[in-house]
Order: sequence, then C-alpha cells, then structure tokens
Amino acid sequence: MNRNPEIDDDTDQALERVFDAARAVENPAPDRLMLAILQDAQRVQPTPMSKPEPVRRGWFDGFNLGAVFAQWPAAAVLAACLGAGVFIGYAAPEEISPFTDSLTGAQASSGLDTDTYFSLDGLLSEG
Amino acid sequence: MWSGRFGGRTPLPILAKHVTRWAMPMPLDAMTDLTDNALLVRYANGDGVAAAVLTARLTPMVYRLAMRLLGNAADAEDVAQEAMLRLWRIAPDWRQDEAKPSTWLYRVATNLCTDRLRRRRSVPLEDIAEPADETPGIEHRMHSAVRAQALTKALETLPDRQREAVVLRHLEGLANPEIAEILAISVEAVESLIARGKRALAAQLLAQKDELGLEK
Repeated sequence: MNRNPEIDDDTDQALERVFDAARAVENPAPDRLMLAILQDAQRVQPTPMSKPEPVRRGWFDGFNLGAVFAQWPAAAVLAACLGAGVFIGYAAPEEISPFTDSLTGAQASSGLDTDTYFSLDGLLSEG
Repeated sequence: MWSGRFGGRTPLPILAKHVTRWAMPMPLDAMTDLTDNALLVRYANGDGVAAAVLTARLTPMVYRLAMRLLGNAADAEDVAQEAMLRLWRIAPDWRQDEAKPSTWLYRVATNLCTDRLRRRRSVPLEDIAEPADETPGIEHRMHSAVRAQALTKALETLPDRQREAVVLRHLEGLANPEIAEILAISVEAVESLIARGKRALAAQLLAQKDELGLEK
C-alpha cells in the first residue's frame, strides 16, 4: 500500500518490485565467519562460576587460617585449651592431683600406690 | 530442531563440532527453544552451547543487514564479527528488560556500517566492488539480480539515516517502532526518513526503468 502521497501507485509498485528482487538475494553467512564468531565467544566468555585458584608460594600459603578460626565456638574452645595448658604447665603436681581427682571422682591420696606399679624385680624372681 | 529455527538452512555442523570440544552442559537441541535473552544470560554464566545457538541464530541476520547496507562481503563479515564480539562482551552486564539482543545487534551493526560508509566516501562509487551474483544464470533471476544491484547502488547515494530506515523497513521487514528503537528516533521521524528515502530511490531507479524492466 502506498503511504507516501508524493509517490504515485505505479512508482510505489515499481519500487516494491526492486525491493522484492533485493530481498530474494540470499546472503548466507560464510561458515568461516560463524566459526570465527564462535571462537570469539569462547575467547571472551566470562567464567563467573569458576574462580581461578590463587597462586601458592609455599606450604603455609595454602593453609587458610581464616577458615579455621572463622567461627566463635572454635575460638572459645581454643582459648579454654590454651588456659588449661598454661595451668598444667605451671601448677605443681600436688595441686594437679586434687584437681584431676575431682574431675575423675577418685579419692585424694598423699602418695603413690606402689602396688599398682610393676616391679622389674618381681618379674625376674618369678619363674 | 536446528533447521526449523534457523531459516531452513542446516545449521552448521561445524559449530556443533566446535562446541562439543568446548563445553556441553546442556544438549544443543534443548537450547533452541530458549529466547535470545535467556541464551545470552546462559552464555554469561559460562555456557558454551548457548554461544553456539546465538551464533547460529543471530549471525546470519547481522551479516545480511551488513551486506545490504555495505554491498561488500568482506566489509559485511568484519561488521558482523565486530557486532557479535560486542554482544559477547556486553553479556555479563546485559539487562534483559532493556532491549532484545537482535534489536541491540541491529543498532550496533547499523552504526558500524555507517562508520564504514563514511570512511568509504572518499572512494568513488564506481570503484566499489559490485555484489557478487550468486544466483543461477536463468533470465528471470538475472533480471532480479540486476534490480538488486541497482538498488544497492542507489542506496549508497542516500543519506545514512534514510538508507538505514529504508533497508530496515523494506529489506529486513521490521516494523516502524522497532526501527525507531534501533535508530533511537521517534516513529514519526522513521516514517519521514522512509518517505524521503523512497522518493530519492524512485528518482534514481525509474531513470533506468528500461534496463531494470520496471516499465508498466
């Protein structure tokens, strides 16, 4: 339909015939172009799902301290262990024993019970 | 299937072969029903098959437009490759609500063609290679080819915006609102460009109506 009032119908139909001819010309994209475009796509494709591994320079670089101590319960347990270690290291044995007995429910004793220990002499004298 | 989605042309076994060596998270056929927008998002998320489907779907369209605007296969290939490269690069930032990838590509390809034509202006029209006649040599098709070549030459003489509007409307078959979006102008401006472009084309083509077989 002629929507251009300055072009008469004959002229409009003639133009349409030219447009038809141009539309009929096939211009298929060459395969090499398609392949080049796909290779471009591969070359510049972002990879948000796979972060690159960080470069490691030594054994300690790969050990992630942040991940180990990231949560507060782990830090609390570590602090308790540290405190116990310091106490055991500095306290005298007689102070340790009541402490450990109170934990295990055993009776406090002033000395070592020698019956509970093996004697090399006893082994040699038997038999 | 491939052939139904790509204008009847058997779609490039070479792409399928290439993409199987790249990444295959989803079968090729399963992708052909996805929209261009969805495929572009998948590509941005690392999906190589989506790139193959988009390449097969959009490249012929961009190449055809470039051929119609430039009339030269080598230039059209360069424009198509550059336009598609820009699409790949913008994929991570693609906003699905803004435009269709095809409309965006039309806009980019049109601008690239305009740039090339402006650089080419210093070269006389007679020195520009004639489009190759790829049609079989029967008389009717020869006649069509002569008309198509005459149109290509006549389009070259139009101002950039008129040529783009006429090609998008009468050769690519787009609606005026989409052309307005591609050219970033109003629909009324598109109508005006097309009207003026057709008048200029008519003046040139009807001057050679005998050679083109356009007499009544």
